Amino acid sequence: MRNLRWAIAVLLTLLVAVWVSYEFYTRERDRRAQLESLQDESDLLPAPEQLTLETVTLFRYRPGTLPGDEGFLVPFEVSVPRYEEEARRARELLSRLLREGGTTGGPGTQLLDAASPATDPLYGAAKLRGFYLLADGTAVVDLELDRNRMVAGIVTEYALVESIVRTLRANVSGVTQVQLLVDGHMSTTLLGHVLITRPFR
Amino acid sequence: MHSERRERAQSAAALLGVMLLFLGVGWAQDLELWIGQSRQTVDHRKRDSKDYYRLSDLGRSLGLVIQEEGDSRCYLRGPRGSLELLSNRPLVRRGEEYLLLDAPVWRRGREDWWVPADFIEKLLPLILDQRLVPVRPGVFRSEVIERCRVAMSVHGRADRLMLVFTPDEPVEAHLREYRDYLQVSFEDRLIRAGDLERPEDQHLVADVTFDPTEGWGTFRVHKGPRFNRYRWYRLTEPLRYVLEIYGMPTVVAEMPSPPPTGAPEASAEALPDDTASEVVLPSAVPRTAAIVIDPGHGGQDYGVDVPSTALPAEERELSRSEATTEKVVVLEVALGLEELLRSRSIPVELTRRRDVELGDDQRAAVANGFQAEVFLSLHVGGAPSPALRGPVVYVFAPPDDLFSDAERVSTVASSAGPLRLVRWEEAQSEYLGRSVLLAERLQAELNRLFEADNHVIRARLAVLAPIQAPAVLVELGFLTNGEDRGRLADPDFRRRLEETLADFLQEVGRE
Repeated sequence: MRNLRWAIAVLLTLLVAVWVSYEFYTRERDRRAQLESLQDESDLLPAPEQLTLETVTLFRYRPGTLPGDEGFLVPFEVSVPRYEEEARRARELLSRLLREGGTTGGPGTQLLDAASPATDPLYGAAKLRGFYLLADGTAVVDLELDRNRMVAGIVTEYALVESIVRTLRANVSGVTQVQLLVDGHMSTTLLGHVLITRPFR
Repeated sequence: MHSERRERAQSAAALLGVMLLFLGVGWAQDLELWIGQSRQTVDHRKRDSKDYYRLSDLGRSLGLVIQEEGDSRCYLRGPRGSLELLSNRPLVRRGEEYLLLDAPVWRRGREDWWVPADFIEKLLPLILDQRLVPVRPGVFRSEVIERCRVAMSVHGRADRLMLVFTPDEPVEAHLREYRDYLQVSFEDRLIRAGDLERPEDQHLVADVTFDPTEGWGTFRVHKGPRFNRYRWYRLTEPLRYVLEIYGMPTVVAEMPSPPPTGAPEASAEALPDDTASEVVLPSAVPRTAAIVIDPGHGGQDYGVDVPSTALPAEERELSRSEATTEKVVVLEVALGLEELLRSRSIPVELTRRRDVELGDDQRAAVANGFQAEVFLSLHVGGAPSPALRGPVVYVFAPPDDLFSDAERVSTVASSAGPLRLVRWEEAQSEYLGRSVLLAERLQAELNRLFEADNHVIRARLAVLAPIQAPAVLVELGFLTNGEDRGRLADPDFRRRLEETLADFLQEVGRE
């Protein structure tokens, strides 16, 4: 009888220990899976369906024009989730610009000759790594550029810079200047030509 | 008595539970290695809040030999080399170099070594002949790397050598230039050197070696004393990569020379070997050059590089070293232009004379050091739209938050009197007026040649910012436009382009 009690006690302890270990293991696994899925910080934001939408005007390059030409940038309207916080809002706008700048509908679409985001050699080749809005009104835009896809050249660099600066100034209140970073660092040029050591106003 | 037993039982059960809990924690953080269908685990421990993995488990799973030497040293040998680990040191020695880890290697006891997590991704691949692919955090899959044999043959010419690398599988190759050698590496294949022919004459190429431990296997072409420049291109059917090495020209225009004084030019033989240096910085003795020409890009910076897939079928046969790469086009135009200007006795210097990468500051240092009267940076355009065509001349546009005069310029005392110092990145601001006039005239000349109607653009360009002279950057048409691409590939048009630029610069020099 005594032996039986011992056996039951040990068995129960084992079961509890196994259960605790399993619980810990599954929680750890889920935590890691969740961390993996959060690589893009934007996933931390509320789901779009929980937000109201707003119509904003973004600016993109009009193919065939040179910097300084009339209509170098063409406005187009899109609906985006509205965030109260300006930094989140700006991040959403820029992500949208870079994701769909070459293809989204709106005025001027017929002027674009980029076929799809996959082949867009301008906006499709740039990704927003981070965005910060500083107290003095400096918008810090951290970009990741796919140099193999982007057609090198002054026009390309200017088109990207100008459309980012103009989109921010047109939509985000309080932005006084825009500082660009590449891969998280201050860089002398965006892609070898345009000087980005100082902010754009 | 009974309660004493119960307490003892409860204590034992709790102890067992805690032990199992620790075991569970350990299992959860162990590293998984999948070698084919076999799953191997590598013990994990925490030390100073860092993750550590047991070296012997890694060695057993991956077939590596571990040899401990004394209390503080351990060797890890793999198929492609060995690593020397030192106890409590974050440095790992591989051949002649030391590699830094995030945390020190940990020797827990005799033949019980532990390595920090970054060792697995950072250092193990250097000695393995398999690839460790991260599947998810804490899990790696080992993948066999396909092998490829690369033969190398040497073909000699009077003034150049051709080294031909012939892989037996389709594989991408890359060339990178270092000070003493050119490095040829390959992508995604474990390279084995086939027949390795050595050049008989070591003047251009001193030696060719193969290092199986560098990357996946790398060839090094060691420069000889008469090495001058190179050309790298790819041929198909069968796939070959060709490295052409050129020697010093017999009539040298390699060293920047002072303005012509009637002295005869030195021959190549008379020059010391180090005259082949690619970045030519002026000496302390001030020398002047009326014009400094800057061929943009170079080396690993190709500039606009139109991929062959984007070209019409009839142009696809052109290699990247011909008409589709900006760095090549502008260097050829610059060399032609230099020859024309020298033939007209106009002092001229180039920032580079061969395919080498320079920073914007280096280019500006050459121009400012030579006290250039005019700086002309040559480029070819690229745009996201093929519609853009024709030449475009750019002048510097200062940043919007321009420094005030007081901030930009300061004066310091020196033995030769007050010395005026200007901020490097805004040196061009003082010359903007003359730069704009120069740009307008050049734009008009080039528009005539290209039958275009483009205008001068002010842009915040890094290469122009520090130039202490009237300076413009010109894009000689767009490589992304078929018409311009065709023109730039046409030798007759190139000659007319060089003559237009030379005439313009000669006229500017007269004023």
